[in-house]
Amino acid sequence: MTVPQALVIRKADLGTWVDSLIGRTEVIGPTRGPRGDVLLATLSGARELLWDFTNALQPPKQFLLPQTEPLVQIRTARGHAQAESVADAHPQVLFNVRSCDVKGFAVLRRMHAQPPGDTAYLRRDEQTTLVCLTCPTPCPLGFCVCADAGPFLEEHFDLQLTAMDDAMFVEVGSAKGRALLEGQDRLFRPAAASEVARRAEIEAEARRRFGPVTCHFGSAMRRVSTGRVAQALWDAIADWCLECGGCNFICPTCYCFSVRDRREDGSWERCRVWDSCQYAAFTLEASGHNPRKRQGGRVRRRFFHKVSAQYYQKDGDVGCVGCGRCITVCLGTADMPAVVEALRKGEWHG
Amino acid sequence: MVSGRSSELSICPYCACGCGLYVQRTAGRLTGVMPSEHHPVSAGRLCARGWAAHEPSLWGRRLTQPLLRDGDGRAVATTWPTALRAAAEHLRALRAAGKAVGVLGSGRATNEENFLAAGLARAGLQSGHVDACLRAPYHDLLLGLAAADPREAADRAPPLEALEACDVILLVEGDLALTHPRAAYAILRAVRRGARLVTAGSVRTKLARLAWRHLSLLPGDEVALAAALTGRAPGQAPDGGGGELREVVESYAGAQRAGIVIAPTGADPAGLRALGAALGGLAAATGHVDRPGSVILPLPLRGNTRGALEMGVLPDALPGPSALHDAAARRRLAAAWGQEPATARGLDVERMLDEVAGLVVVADDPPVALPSAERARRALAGLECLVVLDAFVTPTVEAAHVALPIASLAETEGTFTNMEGRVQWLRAGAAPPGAARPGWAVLAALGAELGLARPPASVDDVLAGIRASVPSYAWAERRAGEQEAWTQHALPAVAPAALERPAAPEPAAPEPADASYPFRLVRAAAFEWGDDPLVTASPTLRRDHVSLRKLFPHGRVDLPALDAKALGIRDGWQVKLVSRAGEALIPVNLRDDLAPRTILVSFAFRDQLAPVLGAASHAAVRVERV
Repeated sequence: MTVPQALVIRKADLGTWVDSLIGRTEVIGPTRGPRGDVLLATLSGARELLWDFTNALQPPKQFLLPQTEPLVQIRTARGHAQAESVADAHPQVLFNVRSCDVKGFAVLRRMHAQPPGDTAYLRRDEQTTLVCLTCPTPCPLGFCVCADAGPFLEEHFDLQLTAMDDAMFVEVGSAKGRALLEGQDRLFRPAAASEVARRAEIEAEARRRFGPVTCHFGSAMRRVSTGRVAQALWDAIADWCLECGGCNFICPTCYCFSVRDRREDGSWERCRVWDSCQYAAFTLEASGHNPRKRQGGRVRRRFFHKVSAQYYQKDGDVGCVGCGRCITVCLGTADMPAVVEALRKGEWHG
Repeated sequence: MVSGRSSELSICPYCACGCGLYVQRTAGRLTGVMPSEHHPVSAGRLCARGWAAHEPSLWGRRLTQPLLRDGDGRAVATTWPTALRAAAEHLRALRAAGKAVGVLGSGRATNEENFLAAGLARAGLQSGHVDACLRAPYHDLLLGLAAADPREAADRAPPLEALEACDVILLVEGDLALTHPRAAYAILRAVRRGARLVTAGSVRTKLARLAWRHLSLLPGDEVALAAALTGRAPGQAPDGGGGELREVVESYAGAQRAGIVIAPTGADPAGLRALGAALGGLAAATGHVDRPGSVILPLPLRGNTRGALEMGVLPDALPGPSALHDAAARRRLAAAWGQEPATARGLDVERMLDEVAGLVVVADDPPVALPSAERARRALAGLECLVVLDAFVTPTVEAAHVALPIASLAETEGTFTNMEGRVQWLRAGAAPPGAARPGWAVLAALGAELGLARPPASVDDVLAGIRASVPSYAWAERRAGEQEAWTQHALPAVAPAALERPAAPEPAAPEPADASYPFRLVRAAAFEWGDDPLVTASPTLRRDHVSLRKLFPHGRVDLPALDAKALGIRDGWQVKLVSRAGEALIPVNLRDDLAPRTILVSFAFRDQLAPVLGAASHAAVRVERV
């Protein structure tokens, strides 16, 4: 049977569908945590899955690029060291991923696929199905429209869901997405032309409803890329950054890591762990030389990577999906919109 | 098919801010942390330490078996019953021989562990020798601030929140952005709103660069500052004198909402009390003590230093703290601890190390936290019986006669009390490795071996004991299934009037510089996170902190560049520092932001300068080229 590109499922049937997936594979999605926090977790039943929520502070990238990721186990047997790959890759479905995060995965995939290719990441990526949930109401701090990352997507998703009155509009973006619908003919029906039109209206309406946070990447990019940002400005911004590294850790497009070995039951385990370019010793060389000893240099490096024309030409995107998480997580005031604004105007007031 | 990613709401165990985080796990194994977006303290923010809070459990050198030193001095793995019995018998034998025994609690142990540690000392061992490293600097500040105890603390905004709304903030710091990042963030927010920030410290830090005024405050200067501040309250300012300080005082006095934040500096105890008294006096004289919106926030150094103090881990008070002679408190504690507590005034940690024969150390490594690491190491090595409970193999564990493995702070349950007085739950993200058990359970078992009745059977039992015997924690109840962190807002809850206090020692004024000793050498801080086991056990944190140590294996001191030029000394050279007490060789790091004739030594390199400084935090020295 050929599944059409646009389908519809009744909201009342969503639980049946999700529960059937949970029976087949690991399904991860947003759940309600303490104090109203949204937590991404393995679902044990569809009733745990949230459909109406402001995006989690926790980025779903951790399910493809974990904070601690064992890659190789090293054992010594009769004087010889043996290394065995232990990188975990099993099928998983990430449900109700917002468009910004789906776009983030596209950025990560492109980076990790560059030769020679990061096999641990790519294997996990292959095993992951992304179900995007569009945002008819933009989140309060989001600015995905400025970064071409939402609130609705044209590509990068396996399935994309849009809530309509009593139904969910389903767009199929890939064979992996189509596989989630197999054996569910009873629940899905092709979308009617009126429903396709309604979906377009919801998107147009959403784009009109964005909050005050904007991010003018274009003009910031012109200044950064033509050497028109004085080092003094970076130094001034650096005084308002407490070097927590949070902006890197929650960013859907940041991927820098370190490699750490840990002893475990008589063998060694080589792990990839998240790292931050804002940490003083991130670029410390074995000689003791540190090319970015000053924090102003590290802040400059971060934003050069994110918004310079050099990287834009190489990657085809700015290194930001407008999720707004850095505004929440920054233990200072140096979040993306604030710094882009400072670059544009050439001044910083904290 | 399900690998199971989940998380538990917990608390960052490093500094005393008490930020909320989730400990995350995959298939039962710790994998990371994530900030709690709606947490009342941190609202989705963590510092670098918080982001690495899972690392010590994974990368630290873990103690996984009880160890007992055999006849040849080797530590041999043993069973729990054997280890506990050996520890109890050894301690009892010392008591029977009339020798002193003591207990150290810790700012990196939970309230429940500290409460049981205090009980182990006062009830189990009938000894008043109970204290914690880094308790004294915080406590000295509190005692100094006694004049500024508010009459009503109940319905105030939480201090960190209030700080963000202040118009003028007086900050005494080592480097707040490093020691208490969440508090530094509150100050950044206030400055962005337009607040006037006044910093006082020995270094021009990140916050000092954003300050409206910066006052140089070196260890030894506290008395002079106190005199200047209190003598120059509005209306009393002497004509023409100290314009900058007068501006500061007038600005503070005139503020609608004013904040004072004091981190323990490298000063001597008397200096810290003088500092507390000066700032408390200023707040009292200007009416800011009881003014809504104004805040005074003394900062404990470690995560649960405040909780340890309130759980009775101090030599001169019962939990609360209540006075040693408080009969009602003693009755309540006898019920909670299983025996009437000893009410003798005990020794503080430094004197304890010199004078006791037996010591139980709960989750601490005294050489990293005391002013003289070398002296602490020697004292531990000279003990007849050293029993250590820790999750990590620290040098103190290696010196132990009995080492008892406990769960790390990511593997245990219990409460921490933050700088604001919030009591919050730590929750276990994973099971402890090997034979390690929760610290409260080990202390309960050790207490039972020492004959304490009715040992607690759960962490909730311990908490019930705390609730019943410490009035300020009477509200601290865990409701079934409740996931939320508890909150209570209170200013430092030490009631000094109720306690007997030894008279404060006279602060030592700086030695007068003269032609023979023209420089002032000062210790810049009271503690350095880079040495803490929770940092050294984390590869990410160790990298940033250790890199300096790697680069300067012989230590170093900071010297003003202009003075160095006059002496013909270049950056990195080794110099000889000579004081009236002794001399030492050490490399110099030249800086252009120091006051003339001031030499700073960081806490990390204090041992290299022990011959010059002695136990003091400052000394007059001369610098000789070698």
